[in-house]
Amino acid sequence: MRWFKQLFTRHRRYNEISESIREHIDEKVTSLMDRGMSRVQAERAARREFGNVTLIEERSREVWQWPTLESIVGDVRFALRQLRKSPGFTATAILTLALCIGANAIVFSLLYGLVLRPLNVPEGRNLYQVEVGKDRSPGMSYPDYVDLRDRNRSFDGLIAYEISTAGLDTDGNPSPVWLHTASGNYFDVLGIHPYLGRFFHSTDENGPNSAPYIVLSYAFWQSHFQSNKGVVGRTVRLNKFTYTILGVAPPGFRGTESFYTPALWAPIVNQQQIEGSSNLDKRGSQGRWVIGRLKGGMTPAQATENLNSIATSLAKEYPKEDTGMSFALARPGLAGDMLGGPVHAFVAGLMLLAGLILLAACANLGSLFSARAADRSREIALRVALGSSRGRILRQLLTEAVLVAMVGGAMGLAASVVVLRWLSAWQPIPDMPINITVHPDARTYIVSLLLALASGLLFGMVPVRQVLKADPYQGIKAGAFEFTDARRRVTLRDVLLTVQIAVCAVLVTSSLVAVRGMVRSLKSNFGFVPQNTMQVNTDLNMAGYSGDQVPMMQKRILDAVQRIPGVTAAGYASRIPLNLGWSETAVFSDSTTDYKMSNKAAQTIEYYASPGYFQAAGTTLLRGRTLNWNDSKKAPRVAVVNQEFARKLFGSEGKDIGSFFKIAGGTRVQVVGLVEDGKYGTLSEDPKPAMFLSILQTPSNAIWILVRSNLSPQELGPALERTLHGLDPGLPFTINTWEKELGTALFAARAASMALGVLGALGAILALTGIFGIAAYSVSHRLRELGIRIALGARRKEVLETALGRVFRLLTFGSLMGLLLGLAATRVLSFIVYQATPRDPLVLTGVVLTMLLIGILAIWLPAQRALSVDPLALLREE
Amino acid sequence: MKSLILTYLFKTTIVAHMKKKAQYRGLFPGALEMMILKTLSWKPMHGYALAQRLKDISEDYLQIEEGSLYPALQRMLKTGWLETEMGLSARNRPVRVFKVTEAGKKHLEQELASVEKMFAGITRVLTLAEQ
Repeated sequence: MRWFKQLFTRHRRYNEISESIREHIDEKVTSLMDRGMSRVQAERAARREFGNVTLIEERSREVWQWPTLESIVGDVRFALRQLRKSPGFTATAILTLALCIGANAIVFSLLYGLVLRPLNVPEGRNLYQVEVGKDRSPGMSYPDYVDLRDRNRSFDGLIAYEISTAGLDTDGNPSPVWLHTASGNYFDVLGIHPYLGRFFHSTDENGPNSAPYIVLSYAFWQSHFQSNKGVVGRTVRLNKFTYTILGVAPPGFRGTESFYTPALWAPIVNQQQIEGSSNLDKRGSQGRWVIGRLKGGMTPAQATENLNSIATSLAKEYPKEDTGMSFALARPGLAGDMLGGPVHAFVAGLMLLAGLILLAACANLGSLFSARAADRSREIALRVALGSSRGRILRQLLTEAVLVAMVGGAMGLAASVVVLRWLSAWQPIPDMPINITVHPDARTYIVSLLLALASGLLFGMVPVRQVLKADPYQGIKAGAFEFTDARRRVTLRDVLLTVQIAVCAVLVTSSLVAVRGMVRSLKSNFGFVPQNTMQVNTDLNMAGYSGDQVPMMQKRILDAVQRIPGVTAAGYASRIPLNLGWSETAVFSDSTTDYKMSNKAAQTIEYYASPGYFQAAGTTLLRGRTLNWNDSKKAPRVAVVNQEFARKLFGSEGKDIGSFFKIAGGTRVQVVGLVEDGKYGTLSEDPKPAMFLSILQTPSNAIWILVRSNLSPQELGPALERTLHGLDPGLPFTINTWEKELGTALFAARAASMALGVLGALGAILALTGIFGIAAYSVSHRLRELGIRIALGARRKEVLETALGRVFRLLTFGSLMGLLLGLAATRVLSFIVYQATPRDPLVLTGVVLTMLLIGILAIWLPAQRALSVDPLALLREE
Repeated sequence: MKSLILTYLFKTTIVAHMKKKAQYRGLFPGALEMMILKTLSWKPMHGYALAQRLKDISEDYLQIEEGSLYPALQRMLKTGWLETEMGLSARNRPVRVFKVTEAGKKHLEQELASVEKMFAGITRVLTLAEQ
């Protein structure tokens, strides 16, 4: 470490050398004077005999220096001076890089957080999600899970869990919490150790409702129990049942899905108490998500084979439920491939675009730097003529580039950290703990640093050829002027600019397609009217109601809500359209007698709705009647269906009302009404059949109450709260406007449009500065030529053509290429954004206009400069 | 014997060095350092005194450009053979005095031993070559 110390004590050393030499000369002068010389003579003699003081000092100092380092430091100092001399250039370059590296850092962190990062548990890479069936859905029935868990030979353990809600009551004021119900081996298989207390284990599972324990997440413990270490062993009420807090999970553990943060974990065997009903004994009821820890030495392929051999024997044992069952493995964290597939594709696409943007920025800066090198050709020629090596000059130019890149990178990184912090705290969906932690970490920093360094070297290399072929003699003779560029057909700078414009056009095209898709999806017909409607989400099971109490209480609530002044319509249903999740079921034609899946007439979305639901939702009734209070348990089963349902089951319209169909199990249902089609699962879905059965005939604990009124949300919200509390102070519920709740359905499209919009704007800014740079350079380097042309009588149009014609041609060509590429790329978008079609005249016009605007903006100033050339002034300067 | 070698060194290499540095370096790397170490282990000295002392013992053989000592002194400080401390000059002025460290003493001994061996070899060859 001595060299390190020397680095800092060097200044003292330098002073000491100077001091020693001074002392030496003083001594010598004195001794010479003693011998009879005058002071002047003595000083002269002393210096003569000593030698060149400056040179000797320098040689002595060199002993302490690190020659390469020192000269690099010198280069950096010189580069700083040079950059300070042209603040406009420096600021443009740094800002461009800051934006692009910031964007890359953000997208990379997203990519890492969503795709690359394994679950935050010990040896998370060994974990695999087990998916079921050909469509690879993550859900599995509990009996199937138990069989897989006990019979497989390829996993050290298989866990099952589910996302669930329950009413948690700690102080007499129950509120809904989101949790994971999990198998007893959950924590043990994951290898997590408690922060406080203990976890539940397989040994705690002794049949239904045998394990009334919960484990709190660290964040929930902090926010709801004020980090009180005394909570272990305390009891709370979960849906009115008494549960004991066993312990607190460690801070870094956020469950087994990277987008969902449960507040607590409860044993899955207590499903009946937590969800109000249990299907743990039903082999046909899927819904458990299963993750396994692969045994050491097992490959995923071997494990899949093992699981599928179990599936074959299960199919023999339980032909009714398990025929044709198969398993596959996927990466855990995003509900397997269900969310994982599209998310991976989109984030990878974003990364590609961000990379392209950085490349465009490098092209941009490359041309700026090469223009700058050309500007300095006289200086460079002089230095070469004075004996500087070209390598040394290149190192100098590269130092400048890397310096700019590093400063830009650091700024970009700082900005990205701010954005990522915000993103990590963002909860896109109200009332549900959905969020993604994309905290920047060492990886983000390293990637940004490397990107900055690489891009610095990349754009720094652009002027290399130019410098290497520079002829000092020509350079000094002709000054900064070169006409060689104009004569060559295509220069590197032209190619760079075209590439950059093309990239920009791709970005502008895709962001316009996305934004247009968003606007359309907001204006499209949902099959309901979300405006002026609030929704109340409540689960009577959480408040301790059961059996016949449930529908009675629900009717009381509805009656009370309808009596609120200003409420025009109210109704409730088991689910509402375009919310998280939907349930589909098979329906059969009336003539079917064998209710096998292969005999189904349609797969349809099912809702259980109350009287008044359609009026409250704003869904138009086309024919027949809506559901009413007479459609009770004693009455024959009835349904209201949508047009698509009618088409699928009854062929032509008109035969629907009064017709019968059968639901699973063979129950006959009569169609009493026909409503318009709508969107149910996602905005981008194709028309789907849907049926609305009477909720009075099949009661549901959890309901969504829709309240349409002419009151503002600020008036209606408190009124609803008062009404519900008046009926039962222990009722947990959430209130929201329906439009806000729709954020859920629009989330993916919104996020995509936002990301693309930002990248598009970045691309546009880059193209703007890039074109501006080239145009300004082109004008400033041909000023003398332009002056002569003007002096010889050239007209404005001709001057402009000379100065900027080439730039404009490049712009047109690049935009065209980008537009074509963009149209190809946006096919991918149509999976996420509703009706995202690139063959939209508005989009096409938009792209052309945007590019034109960018071109005009960028060329405006250089064109003004070209036109205002004063030939006299120019000639005088020469 | 030692003093004989030293005189020889002074008269050949150092003189050559002082007149033409490049040649000296090719001939006897480390010779100047040896001289300085030897002189300073007799008595710690400041730069001027060291230069004077070298000049005195080398008589007229050494056309010393005093400044040339300084880079060598710095090199030796850096290697750790010398250290500086404040002292007084012959005229009672406060000056920086160069002093040989333990490492410097050790180095000098090793160098002297190896130079002696080398000279013994050379002498042997020179005396016996034509016999």
